[in-house]
Amino acid sequence: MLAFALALASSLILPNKQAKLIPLYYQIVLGAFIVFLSVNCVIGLRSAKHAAKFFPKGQLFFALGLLFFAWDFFSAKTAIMPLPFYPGPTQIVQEAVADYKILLISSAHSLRLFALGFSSGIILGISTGILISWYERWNYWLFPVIRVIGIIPAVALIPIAMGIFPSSLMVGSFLITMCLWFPIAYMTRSGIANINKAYFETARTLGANESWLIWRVAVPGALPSIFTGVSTGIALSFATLVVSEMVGARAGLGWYLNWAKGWSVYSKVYASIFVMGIEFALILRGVGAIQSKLLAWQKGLVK
Amino acid sequence: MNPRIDLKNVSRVYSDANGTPFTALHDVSLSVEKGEFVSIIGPSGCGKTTLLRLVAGLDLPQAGTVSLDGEQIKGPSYERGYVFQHVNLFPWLTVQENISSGLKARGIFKSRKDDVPAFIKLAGLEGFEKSYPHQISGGMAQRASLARALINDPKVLLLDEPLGALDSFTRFALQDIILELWEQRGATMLFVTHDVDEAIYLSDRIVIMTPRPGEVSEIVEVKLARPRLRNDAMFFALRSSIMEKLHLVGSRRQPEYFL
Repeated sequence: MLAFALALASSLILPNKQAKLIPLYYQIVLGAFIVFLSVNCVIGLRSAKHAAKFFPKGQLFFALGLLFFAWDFFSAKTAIMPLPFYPGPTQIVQEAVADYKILLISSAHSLRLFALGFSSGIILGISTGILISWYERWNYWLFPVIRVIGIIPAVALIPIAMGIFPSSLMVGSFLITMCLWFPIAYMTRSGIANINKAYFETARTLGANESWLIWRVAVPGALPSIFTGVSTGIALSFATLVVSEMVGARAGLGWYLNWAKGWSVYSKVYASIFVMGIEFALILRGVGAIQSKLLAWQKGLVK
Repeated sequence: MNPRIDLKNVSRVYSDANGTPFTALHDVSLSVEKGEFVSIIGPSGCGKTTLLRLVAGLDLPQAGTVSLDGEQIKGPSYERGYVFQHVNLFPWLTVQENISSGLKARGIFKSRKDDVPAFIKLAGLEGFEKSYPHQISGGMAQRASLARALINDPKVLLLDEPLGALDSFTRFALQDIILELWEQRGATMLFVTHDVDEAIYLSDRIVIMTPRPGEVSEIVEVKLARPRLRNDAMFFALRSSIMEKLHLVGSRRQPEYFL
């Protein structure tokens, strides 16, 4: 397992052909990997439980090490993959560190936009879903609307949204809301429709009123399906987030990406892509954690 | 005596998927006294579940009236607890939360929170408070359902084949639990079953129903002293007379050979 770390280290010794680089930051990143893995190895040797959890991932980390090595080798060391489109990892890490303030601010902007759109999308989606599954009249008028608007990609609404809303923050959060609203409303409706009627009847013989039926039977019963809607919507909303920032905004990761491209600084483009990847992965992690907490009762049920 | 549950000339017609009308109940009249244990027995399609749903208020009759204490039943109420055949505990709530859900639904959970452990004990589910319904056995789940209905102190307990999905050992045990609860709490019991032995073992009276259209064909009084024995001669005599009425005895054929 330490072999890959050697591959990483040795790649640093070779001379650089892509000029003018400060390899220090990249070396720190690699060093951090080595320290992280060695620490885990030592713990793994002491505790069997940790070993069972960590050692199976060894091959994956090995491949990651080789990937770093190959990338560095073909771009920075030998220049087989030419600049400006294929900067080496050294350069990307260096740019990311140099620009870390802008990247942080951009991430914060993107996160704020996402948080706004995400929360309003979820609230609107669930409440629409409840309305259309509970009241026949709402279903009659709203369900066709959802079916039609739901299939239009939110990105297509950018020109209209830019005309209607005064600020780019509102445009972006509107678009993200649209991404989440319809899949969630749709899945809430089908989730509620699939709840066994016996649960509603039981609740009524226990003395439940209508709001108890909605909030204590319909919503928890439809929750697994609601989360399906959320994960569909979330994937769409990431795409929409980046595109809407690239088009209209003066801040955010999408804007940074576009700006870096304008200057042909591809190392910055890669850097912002990496940051996006990390940020979105963290968001998905968070949603996943909430999901497994709320759906703990499903654990062990046959899926 | 003043009858508690009163059905007068009740009819209920459903239409099936093709729109063909289907008479589930035809001109049924039945009175059940306060604190009585009445079983309803009959082949499937005889309208016994429909009858129970009408008393629960989950369904309304098209003709006739259903009343409790002289008051017409217009919808479900916690006064008429219902236990379904298939486990209908809310899968997203733990055993404890399920049992207290009746109190929560009525908004009186805060004042009666301290009663919950007693009902968990009543159902014999100590140690399983935090389990989810799919983690406990069918018998345990049905006991939890009973406790959940009983925590509301219903005047009437409606049981729709509550033991139908259980194996016979669990069933016998639960029959005794149901009797014990009935004797302790004095609720009126309306018990739907397709098991003749179960009906005789538990009830004061047995209502025999026939299908197409669903009608009450006869009401049998069970005059056996409690606690009853499952292997008593009187028990068997009653059993064979009910079996005959339900046409379950089978025609006598000449055996093909003698030993």
